Amino acid sequence: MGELDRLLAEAKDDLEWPDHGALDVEVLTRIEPVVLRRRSRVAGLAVALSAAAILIVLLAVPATRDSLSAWLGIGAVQLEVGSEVPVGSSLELGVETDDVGSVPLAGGLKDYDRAFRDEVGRLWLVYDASDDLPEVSEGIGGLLGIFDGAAGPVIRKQVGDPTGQITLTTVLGSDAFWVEGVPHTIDLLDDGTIVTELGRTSGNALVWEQNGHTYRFETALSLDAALEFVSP
Amino acid sequence: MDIHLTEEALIAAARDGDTSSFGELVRRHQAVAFRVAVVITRSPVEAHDVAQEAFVKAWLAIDRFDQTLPFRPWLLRIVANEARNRNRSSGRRIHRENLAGVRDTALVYGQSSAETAVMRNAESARVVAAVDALPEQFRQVVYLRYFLELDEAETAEALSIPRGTVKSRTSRARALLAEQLEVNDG
Repeated sequence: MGELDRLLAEAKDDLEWPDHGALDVEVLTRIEPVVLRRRSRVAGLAVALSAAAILIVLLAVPATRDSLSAWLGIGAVQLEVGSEVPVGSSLELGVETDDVGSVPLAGGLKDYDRAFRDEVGRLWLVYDASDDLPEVSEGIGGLLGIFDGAAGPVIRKQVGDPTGQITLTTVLGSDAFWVEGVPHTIDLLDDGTIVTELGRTSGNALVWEQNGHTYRFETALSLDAALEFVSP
Repeated sequence: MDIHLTEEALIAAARDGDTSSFGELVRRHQAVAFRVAVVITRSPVEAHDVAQEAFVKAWLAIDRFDQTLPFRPWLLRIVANEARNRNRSSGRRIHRENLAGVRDTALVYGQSSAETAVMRNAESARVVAAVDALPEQFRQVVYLRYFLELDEAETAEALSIPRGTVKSRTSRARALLAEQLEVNDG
């Protein structure tokens, strides 16, 4: 062993790290609500959470808020209710591409007009506004973000105003949630950690998981119309 | 739950929703997870929050964990990402005084003779000070590789850099340390 290695080894042995405390206990306390959520999913419950009063009451209790946000997480998306929503900014879709890979698309989602891939490899499909897709923003009728669940990118949706509707539903047999009439922002996460903060105020959004991918479809459509569009 | 279960068995059970198995995974990895967070945040208080959050996120993402790969690098990547994000989102600057505080209480006397222990402590303090004086990217590599004994692949995963970059940073860090400590790097 060289002299430098010896010094480093001795320093390692002499280094006493601070105590990590009862992390295991704290983590277990926090993940229990997620277990409840998973059990609910197995049971195939599709619960509509539309009563603002209920949400407001729940949000008054931090622990309940945590469990609620965890419970509403689907695939690569976590929904955080009651978070402060920052001022929106534009969304960077990345570079336009002809290669959308082998991502399965159903219904009207197949007829996208442009495709983009952002700097971390996520796919964005743009649908121009039309009679079927009312404009949601500057000539755009729909925006589909597709995230590889296996790779870990995650969206965190922050919902600031709980007076809108958050509805659990299904898309192509998979659990989904719908956020309507609620200003919310999206942050791209990587393995659950924010890597790109988009800080964009979003329109209505339908989120579901399919074949290892997480889909997020932003639209001005109603829930029923959006469901019909993505899975006729 | 059988605490002698293999990590693979614990992960499989956790994927089925068994919180006690995931709890055992936390117990097995909480020390290194916390320490990686300390290295990046330079704050034990922040590191505790980071580690806790990272474990919760690992639980949320356990369905997407590739069971053909080792668990620890995957977990440490989540921890490191969370720590970096914590540094960014808070907008705070690195508080060297925090780390200095950790060091002041961290270095302890060895178990050998008093004279040797004092010498070792002083020498180690000098080494740690030299490491802390390195540019951040080199400092983190040294901590992870030599003080936490992560292997090259784990270090690369945690720092989200290629293994080749770990090698080059390690080499550069060693050269700087050897110069600073006036020893041979060999």
